[in-house]
Formats: sequence, C-alpha cells, structure tokens
Amino acid sequence: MRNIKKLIGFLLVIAFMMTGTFFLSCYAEEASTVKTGGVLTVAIDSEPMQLDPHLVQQTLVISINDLFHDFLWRWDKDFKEFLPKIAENWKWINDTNLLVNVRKGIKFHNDRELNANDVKYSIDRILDPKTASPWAAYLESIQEVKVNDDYSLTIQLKNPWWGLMDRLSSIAIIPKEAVEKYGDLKTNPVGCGPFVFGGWDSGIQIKAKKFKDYYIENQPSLDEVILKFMPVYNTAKSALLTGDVDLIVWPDPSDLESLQSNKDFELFKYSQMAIMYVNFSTKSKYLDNKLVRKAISLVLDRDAFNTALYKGQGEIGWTPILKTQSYYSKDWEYVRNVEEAKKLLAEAGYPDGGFKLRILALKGAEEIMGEVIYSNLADIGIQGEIEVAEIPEALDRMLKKEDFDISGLGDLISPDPDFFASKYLLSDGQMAALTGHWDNTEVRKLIEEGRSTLDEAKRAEIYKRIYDIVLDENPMTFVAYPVRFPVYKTYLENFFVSGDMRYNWSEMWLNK
Amino acid sequence: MFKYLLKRLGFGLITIIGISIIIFSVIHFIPGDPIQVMFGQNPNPELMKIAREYYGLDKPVVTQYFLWIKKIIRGDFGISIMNNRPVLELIIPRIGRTLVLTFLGILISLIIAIPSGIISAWRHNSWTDFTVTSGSLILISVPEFWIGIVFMIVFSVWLRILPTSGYIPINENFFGWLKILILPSLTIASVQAAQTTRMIRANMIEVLSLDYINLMKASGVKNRRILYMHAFKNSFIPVLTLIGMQFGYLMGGIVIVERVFAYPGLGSLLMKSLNERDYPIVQASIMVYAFIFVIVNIIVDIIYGFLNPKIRY
Repeated sequence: MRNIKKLIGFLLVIAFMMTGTFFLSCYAEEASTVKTGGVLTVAIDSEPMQLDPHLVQQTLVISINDLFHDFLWRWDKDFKEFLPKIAENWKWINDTNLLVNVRKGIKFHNDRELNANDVKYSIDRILDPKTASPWAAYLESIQEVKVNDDYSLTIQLKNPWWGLMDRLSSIAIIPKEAVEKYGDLKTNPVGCGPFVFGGWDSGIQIKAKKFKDYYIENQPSLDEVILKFMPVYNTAKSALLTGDVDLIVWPDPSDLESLQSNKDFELFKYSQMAIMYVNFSTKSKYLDNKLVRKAISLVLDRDAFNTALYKGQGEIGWTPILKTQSYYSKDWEYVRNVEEAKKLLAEAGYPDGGFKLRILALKGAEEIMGEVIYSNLADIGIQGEIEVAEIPEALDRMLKKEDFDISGLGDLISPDPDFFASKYLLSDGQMAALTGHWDNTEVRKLIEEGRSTLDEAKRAEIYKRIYDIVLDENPMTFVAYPVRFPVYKTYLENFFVSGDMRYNWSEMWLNK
Repeated sequence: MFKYLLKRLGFGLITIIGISIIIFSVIHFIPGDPIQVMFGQNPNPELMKIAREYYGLDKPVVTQYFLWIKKIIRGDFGISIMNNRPVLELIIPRIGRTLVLTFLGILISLIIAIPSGIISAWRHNSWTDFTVTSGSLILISVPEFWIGIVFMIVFSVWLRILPTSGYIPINENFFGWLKILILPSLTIASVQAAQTTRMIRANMIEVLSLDYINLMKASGVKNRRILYMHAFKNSFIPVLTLIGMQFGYLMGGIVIVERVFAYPGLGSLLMKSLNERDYPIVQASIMVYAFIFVIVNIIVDIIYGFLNPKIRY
C-alpha cells in the first residue's frame, strides 16, 4: 500500500514536472521563435524619384531597393569582411582577375533562375554609356566580365584595384528580360530580393510583397512591407503613435528626447557611413590663400556642428576615414583655436579679418551648417553671407557655375578610402568643383597608388599621407560623422540597419 | 450670353497660352536641371550629356517649347523625366483628389461661415459678434500646417477616431476615403471660413443699414425673411468673388495641407517635381491650375448674372 502511495506520489511529481517543463518550453519557444506574417508599414520622408537600381544613387532608393534586389556579397556589420549573398564564393586568381561562383537555385521574381550571365549583364549595363548610369564611374576599372559557365564568371580589371568588391557590394543583379520588357526598371523593379514589387501608388506608397521563392530559407518573415511617403515629420510621428505606421526611418533629431521617453518605441542609433564637411572654393578671392583656409578650419566648432545637426548625438569627424579602420590616425584630431586662427589670418595679410565670404547653404537638414559657419567666421572677423538654395539650384551653383565661396554638405563614404578621395581630392574628380578644382601633384600620385595597392600596411601609409596634406592645405575640412536613429514600435523584432543604410528587411519580424 | 461666354473662353485661351510661355521660360531658366538632380553628388559630364540628349534637353528652349506645344495639341503631355511615367497618368488622379479636397474645404467653410457671418452682423457689437470676429481673426492668423497638426493630435492621436494621414481610393473603401478627407478638409475650411465669415459680416452690416431693409422692418416683414431672402442675397456677390478667388488659391495653396496629411494631391506632386526639376510634370500641372482658374472665373461671372438681375451680358 505504502509502495502504491509512493508510486502515485512519484508519478504526480513527474507529471507536475512535465507539465511545468511543457509550459516553460512553450513560453521559451514563444519568446525565441520568429513569427512569420504581418504587414510592416514604414514612414519614409520622401517619395523616391524612381527605382531602377542602376540609374539612381539616392540613399533612400538604395535602402528601398534592398527589398527587391540582391547583391553578389555584402559587408558584414563591422565592415571588416564580405558575406556571400548571390555569390557562393570568390577567389582572386591574381591581382586583376576575380573568379566568382554564383549560387545555384536563386530565382528572379519572374521565376527564372539567376545565372552568371545576369551578373555580367548587370555590370555591362552600368558600364554602357547609353545607360547613363551614375554608378558607371564606380566600375570604370573593370576591363571585362567573362562568363565561364552558367554559375561561374571572371571579372577582369584594367589594373589592380582594392575597391572592386566594395563597389560590387552595391550593384544589384537584375534580369535582362525585365529591362527589355519595361525599357528600364524605374517603376517596375524586378530582382531576386526577398520582396516582390507590389505596386507604386504615386504620392501615397510603395508596396512590397513576400517573395515565396527567396533563396534564403525561412526568409522573409514579413508578408508585406508598405512604404508610406510622409514628408512632414510630425505626421509620421502621429502615425507611429496611433499605430498607422510601425517604423520611421528618419526622425527629426530635435525630437530625440521625446522618442526616447516613450515606452512604446525603440530607437536604433547608428552611425551612417557618411561625412559632413565644409568645402572651400580655392579659386575664390581670399580662399585661394591656404593660410585663410587653415584659419577657418581651425576656428570651425565641430561640437557646434554636432549639436546643430544631431543634437550632439553624432561623432566629430576629421577625415572621411572611419575611426574603426586601420587607416585612421589620431594625429588628424585637433582642438579649436580661435587665437591661432587669428594669427594665421594676420600672417595671410588680414589681421582683423575684415572681408566677406558667401556661404551656400543647402535647404533642408544641412541648412543649419551655414549658420554654424557664419557664426564661427564672425569669431575671426570674417563676415559671412548665407545664401540658401534648394537642391537643384545648389547643385547648379556648386557644380556647374561654381558660384560660391564656402558650403557645408555631406556625402557617403566607404571602407575603401579611394571612394571619397577620387571624387573630391583630384582636380578632375566628380565633385572637384566643390574645392575649386584644388590640385596637388603628390595627392594625385598617392590616390592613384592607393587605388591599386593591395597591401593593407602600405595603404594605411598612403592614406595617412594624403590626409596629412589635405588637413594642411584644407581644400575642404571635415566636421562630423552623421548619426541616424530610426524609431519603431517595440513589437518589431530583429531590426537592423547598417552604416551604409542597408536594411535587413528579410530578417525583421512582428512580435504581435 | 453665348457671345459673352465665347469671348471669355477666347480670353481664357489667350491667358493659358501666355501662361504656357511664361512657365516654360521660367522653369527652364531657373538654376538646376533634372539631369543634374538625377546624378546628384556623382556628376559625370559625358553621361549627363547623353542623358540630356535623350530627353531632348540639349535643344534650344524655343525649339523645346514648340515641340512641347505640338505634343500637347495631340493630347500628349510627355513623360516624367524622373520615372518615365506618362505625365497624364500621374496628374489626372491627383487633379481629382485636389478638386475634391478643395470643394469639401469650401463647402464646410460655407456651412460654418454663412450662419456665423449673418448672426455676427445681425447681432452687431454684441458678445456673439465679438466671439465670432475674434475667433475668425485667430484662425486667419494661425498657419494652416499648425491647425492641421493640432487637428491630427486631437482627433487621431488623442481621440483615435480619424486616421492621421494618407489616402484610400473611393472605390476601395468609401467610408475610409471619407474619413481620410475629414481632417484635411476641416483644416482648409477653418482658415477659409474665417475669411468668408468676416466678408459676409462686413457686407451684411452694410446692407442691413440700407433704407429698403428698414422699410421692410417697418412693414413687419419677418427678420428671417429679411436676413436670408434680401440682405444675404444682396451681400453675397462680393463673397462669391472671394470664393472664386479662394478656389483658385486653394488649388495651389493646399499643398501645405497636402504635405501635412500626406495627401497625394496635385500640389504635392508639383512641389516634388519642382524640386526635381521634372519639367514635363511642372509644366502640365501649372497648365492645369491655369485652366481651372480660368474656368472658375467664368463660372463666377455667370453666377453673378443669376444673383443680380442688373448684371447682364
């Protein structure tokens, strides 16, 4: 009898433990299991011009195109190495030949399997002058793309080039027949990304629906992503409060405190891979003197820029080299020194300043940079005159007419320092007009050397020397690395956006 | 009347041709062009030249103008430079949406303004009058976007009874469409109602002091009849001019309201296209505005005739 009681007791304990374990495991499963389905509604601050991944370089379009397209490889979160995507693997045969093996079984949204010819087509399309692609300049070192077989190709370079893999990490692979069908992909994006284009209601939204044949298993988790165009931040915030949208990609920095204090919201702070800079037209009167430029660089208050632009949440920047990179040098950092700046001005022949400079300010978020420059110039007796211009006018005045003295802008940077250097620091670079086509023979030589040098230590030396010269000559000076903080409802899980503004759309899920 | 109408339409056509020349010249001569915007911070002179040739922007402005007019006569407003979509396909739905919002805004404003203006004039210098005049003064002084955001916070965020923004097509969900329209049209109506109220009040006070009104009062005609059948009708003609002007203003002016409520109207398209220098859309949109403005003015003139028998054409 006693044994029976013991047995019953024992069984009860076992049953109790099993029940407990069952409930616990259920709970644990719920907490860790990715839920599939649901619609993610995102507020974006403007409507894109178009969506052809090879015809536009708007950062907004690049972020959106991550929904529809995929790439050979991508940088990892720390920008240290490349992660395979469409390419299964790759191998440098020698300094100028890269062998790429394409993953089998990847399908485009039109149901056709992707092969090596599509990679060749995508690169050739960008390089074809008839396409007039803004990406063409990035790939000009490519000599030829040879298809070895359906899943293998070789990219031949004109000369050794460190930046090839970096640039290709942004080139979407698209099917030729879609371009032939639609003429271009401006309003009909077709790719092999995690979402299929679901329509573009002009002025309202863009829809992206789950691509069921996406090559990564169990992705995407979401059924649909809707991007709503909300140009006024307060509207987007109200929509987030009411649940009309789940995510705002570009909140107003002045609202940071209010967003942080709301328990329904989560903020994702990240440093954008970009640099804010102040550029000098070295052709202008006064600014053709390197001492004047140096004096202004010395008097610019980087903290004030950081406060004005990002409420102090950004990071002060001295060069377009990332602080996490081996190329970065602490020697480039300095303390604002008004007295030293005044001395330099006196040395240049302007003891009390006493001259006027026109500051071209871009209307919008960067406009405030003009005010900071204005106030800093006043500290050394230089009178600023702010001229605010909308983007088209500003581009015209800066790049075509070169009608300005100083301006404050920002641009994307890359783990490859050549990306920025070739564009701005060569007198014939794409953005050379911003420095009045500043030219320095040594810098030119070093940039060319840096581009084709593959040895990391040597590269570090080269870029250190380039920016030593730039910070001495000051055709432009750097002020801050931008910070962004997308805000979303707490039920959105696994949200991530990298410094180069690539969203992990396929991995996000809704826990509700 | 028919002759008059033909004459007005003729003048209207000349106005539109004049506007087409002005807008074409202005848009092509202001700094910046669409190809520059397209290439942004990655300009490449050779490729930009190819792109300009492709869109015919390399031709002299006068040639471009005549090519454009030639196309318009054939009903072809061109394609958007930015995304290759036909201009008409982009602007037609938006014309409808902006017209609906404008009509609704004016309708609501009249529903508020007519009784407020009449009561305010009838009870001239009373507390009611003071409340109406100061209320309308406040509404005129406050910017539209601010009123819009306040409405949004109250009705959408606090009370949760109306959507914050966006657009739902009428054929998808009628009540959803209606709900979306409430806040933007109320925002427009509040400012317009303030202006109209003040105008009605001023005219009514003037008309109510005229001899024929006093005579009616002395003859024992009921107040309501005096107010609505005689005084209001006679003081409405200047108000009608105001409404006509409001309509023209609103077609372009509600762009701020459209932006605040992320409403996909013609104004927001025009603003976006102007920032991108998408010439074909900018030109077509302004032509639409000009056309509507001309038509509205003709309609207002015709209504004058009905309201005042002295006006004959």
